[in-house]
Amino acid sequence: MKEIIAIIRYTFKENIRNKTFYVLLLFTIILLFISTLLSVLGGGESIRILYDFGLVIIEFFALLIIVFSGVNLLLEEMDSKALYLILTRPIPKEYYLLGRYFGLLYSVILSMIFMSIIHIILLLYTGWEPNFSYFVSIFFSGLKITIIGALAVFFSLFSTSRVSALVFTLFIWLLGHFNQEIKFLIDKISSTILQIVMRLLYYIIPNLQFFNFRELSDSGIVFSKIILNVLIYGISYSCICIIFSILLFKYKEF
Amino acid sequence: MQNFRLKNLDMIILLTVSIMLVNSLVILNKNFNYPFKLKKIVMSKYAILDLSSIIFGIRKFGADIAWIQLLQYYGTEEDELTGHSINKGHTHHHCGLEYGSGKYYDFLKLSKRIINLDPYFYNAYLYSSACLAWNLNRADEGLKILDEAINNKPDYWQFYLYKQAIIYKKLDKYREMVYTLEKVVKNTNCPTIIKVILANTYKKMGEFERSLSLWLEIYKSGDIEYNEYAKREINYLRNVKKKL
Amino acid sequence: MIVLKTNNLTKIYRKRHLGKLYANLAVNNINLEVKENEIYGLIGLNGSGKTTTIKLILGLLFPTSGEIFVFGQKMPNRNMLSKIGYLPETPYFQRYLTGKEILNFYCQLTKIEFADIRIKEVTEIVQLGENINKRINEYSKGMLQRLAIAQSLLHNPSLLIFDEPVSGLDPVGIREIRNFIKLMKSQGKTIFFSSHLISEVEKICDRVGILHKGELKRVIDHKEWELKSLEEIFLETIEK
Repeated sequence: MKEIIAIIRYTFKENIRNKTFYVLLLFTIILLFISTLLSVLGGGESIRILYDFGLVIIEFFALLIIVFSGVNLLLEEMDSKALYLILTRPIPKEYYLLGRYFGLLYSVILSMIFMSIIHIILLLYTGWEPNFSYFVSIFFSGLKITIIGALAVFFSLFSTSRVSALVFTLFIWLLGHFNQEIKFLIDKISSTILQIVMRLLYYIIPNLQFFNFRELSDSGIVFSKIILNVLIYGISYSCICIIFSILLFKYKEF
Repeated sequence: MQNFRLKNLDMIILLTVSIMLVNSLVILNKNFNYPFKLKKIVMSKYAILDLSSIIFGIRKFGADIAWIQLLQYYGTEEDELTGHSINKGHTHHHCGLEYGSGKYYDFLKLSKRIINLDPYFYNAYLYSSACLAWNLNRADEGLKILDEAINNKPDYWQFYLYKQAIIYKKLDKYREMVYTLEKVVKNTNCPTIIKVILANTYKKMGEFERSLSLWLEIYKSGDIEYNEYAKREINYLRNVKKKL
Repeated sequence: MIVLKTNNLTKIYRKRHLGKLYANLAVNNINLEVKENEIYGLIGLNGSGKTTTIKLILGLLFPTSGEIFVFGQKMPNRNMLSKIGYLPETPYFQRYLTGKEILNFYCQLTKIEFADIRIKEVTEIVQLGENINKRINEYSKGMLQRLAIAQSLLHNPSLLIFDEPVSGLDPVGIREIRNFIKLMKSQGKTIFFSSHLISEVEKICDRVGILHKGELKRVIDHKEWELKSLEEIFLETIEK
């Protein structure tokens, strides 16, 4: 357990000292400030626009970092052979993978929290009345990022190249949001084979709409009824991706 | 032997997590009612933008952009939009109806864009229907918007109130319309445009005191869009009051 | 006592490309033994299988057939890794961390108590001095090598496995590595290293194994190359 924590700290330090990470973080903060200008164009809905835009920017920043870093998390260390010095130590391989994954997640979630604080300050300045929905939205965005991070790590070990891992992960992100529409279209398809394929896709691809509280908060969905299952779904999906990643990693040669 | 036991443990963990996943998915499929429906793209010009909002899971943000575009459109001089003077008296057909003014032809489509992306953007319904009914004198289109609003959110009482006000307007029952709008403006979330409409209606009916009081309220609210307009109206009404 | 032993160790790299299977016999039936407290050099041309052999011993690769024993225990055995200190051919560390942070990290991985004291000790052995507090992106090749050696010593291993330890170093650096290896031997450690620099191997090894095209052609004791140069013996062996 202590080894996992050591690797988490190591990964976290690596991320926060990485210039690319900082540049992206800075860019996102600048975008948050620019969004206040955009919100002025919204007339009487300036607070809503600032609120929505901010949440979207925070989620997209986290997505970019988690996808690019998640795909490179292990591949970079494998290419540079930095991995040799860790795997030739008496720690189980899965500890290394878990430590790297949670370390990356920790960096991204902390950045999301930091950006949320800036966002909240901007919102309060414009007269926003704080509500619990904001924090729930950020929490579920974080859970979405957890799933995508796990997928990025899995694809980095499963596919033969960085580019394909990146493309697969981003594609799943898109399909995950389109999942409900796929469900709707299944009934409209006449071909049985295509229906089966689509249905399979529907169940395998993570349904990211479950975590899109930011979009669904005004729709009247009673989240308290489903929140526990959403949490279980998110955590178990991530776990399965990580378990498969561990299995791939255990039998990988370096 | 030790390795064999560990592999068994891996399988047990995988099985447990899979069961949890499947179980939660089954429950969510039963209880999660996705509130958005796939609708036709209203304006092909913005098809890619709207589709992107859906695919990226940022419908609300897409609706916000559409909202800004509507305000930009409505805030632009008609000449710039159409490329010809409105004084020429064009007649245009929209949804089978004939309008003499021909102003802001795409207002309804732009409004529909917003509500297709985010059917729970309540203020968009209220603003669009009010603009269509009172400013653009297209009450039927305003009612269309509200009918869709009621269909999406039947328990939002303000939609019924607005609908009532528009019907009264259509039937030239101004007293009843004013009475309905007075109920609406009491609500803290009432869009400023409604207050503006009511204030103008008071002015039209000769009730300058009430009109002035409402304009002062609008000015104090600090809504940048109506600041200058409110200042002008306040000055005018104060002058009228002095003369009286 | 035999510290490291391989029995018929074989490794075939298999790769599938466009439906066709390609097989490359990297290491073939290697039987080697490394005795306690000896310096054993594994020499061979580039591509002869030296690094593959080392990776097989450390568990970075899985043998196609054969067995590996470290301190009498069959590998892979995670506990045995705590008795091995490894130096790769081109050591790489995270650029944005300092040398001290890197060593601290490895201490945590190997559960070393009083890490600060141990880091200070190994830093003195490899003569890194104040450079330990600098970030890795400021390190020279020589400093990186010292740091790499330092990390291999942290957990006080009994067996040191070095892959081309003098690769890319200047003559001063090479001499320092040589002296360091002799120092480790004097401390009772066993050193197993690979190299293609026969002149260096000649100066310090007790025994040498000649690897050619994946096969261990010959094992020579240092007494043999006192009579005839190691280079001659090497060339003779590979030309057979």
